[in-house]
Amino acid sequence: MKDTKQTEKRKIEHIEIVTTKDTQYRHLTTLFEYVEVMPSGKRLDKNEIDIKTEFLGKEISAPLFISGMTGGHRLVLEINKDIAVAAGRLGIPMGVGSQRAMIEDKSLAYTYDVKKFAKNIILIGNIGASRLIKYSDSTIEEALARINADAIAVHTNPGQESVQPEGDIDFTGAYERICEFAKNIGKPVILKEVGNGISKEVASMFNKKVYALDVQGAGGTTWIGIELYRSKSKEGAVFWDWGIPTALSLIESLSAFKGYVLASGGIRKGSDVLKSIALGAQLAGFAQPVLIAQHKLGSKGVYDYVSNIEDELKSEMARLGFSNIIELKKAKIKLMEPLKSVLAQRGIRLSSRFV
Amino acid sequence: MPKIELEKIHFVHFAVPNMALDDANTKMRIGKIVLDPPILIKAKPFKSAHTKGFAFFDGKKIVQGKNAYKLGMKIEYVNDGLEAAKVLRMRSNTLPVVKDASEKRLIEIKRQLRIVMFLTNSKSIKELKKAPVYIL
Repeated sequence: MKDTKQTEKRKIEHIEIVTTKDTQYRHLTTLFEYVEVMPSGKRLDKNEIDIKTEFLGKEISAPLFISGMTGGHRLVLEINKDIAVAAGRLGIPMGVGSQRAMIEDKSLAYTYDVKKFAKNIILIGNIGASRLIKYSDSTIEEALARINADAIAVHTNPGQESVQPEGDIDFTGAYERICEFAKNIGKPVILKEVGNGISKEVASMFNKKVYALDVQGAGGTTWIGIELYRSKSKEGAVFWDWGIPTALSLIESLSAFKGYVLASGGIRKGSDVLKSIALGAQLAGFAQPVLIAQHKLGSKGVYDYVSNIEDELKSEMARLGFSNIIELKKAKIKLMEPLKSVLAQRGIRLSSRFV
Repeated sequence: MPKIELEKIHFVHFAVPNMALDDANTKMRIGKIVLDPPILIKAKPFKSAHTKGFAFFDGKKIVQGKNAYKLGMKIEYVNDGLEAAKVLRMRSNTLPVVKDASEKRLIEIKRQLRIVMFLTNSKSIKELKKAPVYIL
């Protein structure tokens, strides 16, 4: 019970910090500023642009998703509810935060159970890799069934855990456990980082083992930084900018993983989404700006924020002459320095789409 | 080749380490000396059970306990365990040195080095020296 209370308290602290403090990377950026999508030569009107795509075998209205953030405390039900209502209206998938709290205390399940507010949304459950080692498949199956999740994100966060006073700092066997779980669970598994990115080495390990990777790279919110606000630990400051920038992580992951790769971590504008999709991401996602929007204006805030991103994406696609997502994924891309050099250092071979 | 500034060196994060943070073994042997961690302290030597394995640097020699050894390597001053890890990874025949560190500070720096090792899936300093990096 002490663990449960601690988990609940931590959830609230995280929300308070993300909505009130500067939790963004300070020196590292996403490196999307060094990616340029080349025009197709066509001229299009924004009304001609179709941004529909597919995820988890279903058509979705835009290549976007709202990343899992919270759950596990009565006060955060409102956040998940507002996001679900907006995601339902927008026709895009959403995730919930780690379901550890509802596994530890079943009475908290209602804080994740958002399909009652938006019946048709694609809902992604969530569990930490370091918790997965400790739980049985049936425990997690039960937690997913309780909220009627369509898929599960297994988040891996060694960076955050290593600076968290009560962190899980043993990941021994996590890789084997994730692979075994993905094979057994009967639902698509998405491996996601929480802001430090996925390298080509890790992407390669999970090739054909999980349904998708969500790179959640560096350049957006730093969970190591968030832990600094909670614990005042020196490590938080030293490792604030630790990670693989999102654009680099996305290109690395796509070079080594043949399933869907999702781009997140510092996605803030329609042009970030455009670049992510053109580079090869299936979807682009965000969390912190959605949380801020919900904090200010509830479900309407979330809806308006995502609608604005969609609008920016359509404008950019019209300007560059791509009428749909399939065309955008074939776009020529210009990479600039220093990203180009970093990719060379990392031994990433680029296709002929890159100029 | 010009020396790359430490702030431009970034370790490649390893998202699913197959280890515990406490598995990171920070010992390194240099000739007769075993340093744990391989970070020298430029300060007046002090005795402490917690900082056993640490060695001091008096400007010329390495001092560890009652023994003093000739420094046959280059040194580079660092501010924290992350910078120390970068020196160990990127500079040949060079030891990181921290100035005027208290016992508490030394323990923090050692933990920071272990965090780098954990986040690069390096169980030993030998593995850390091969961990992937990128220069930005």
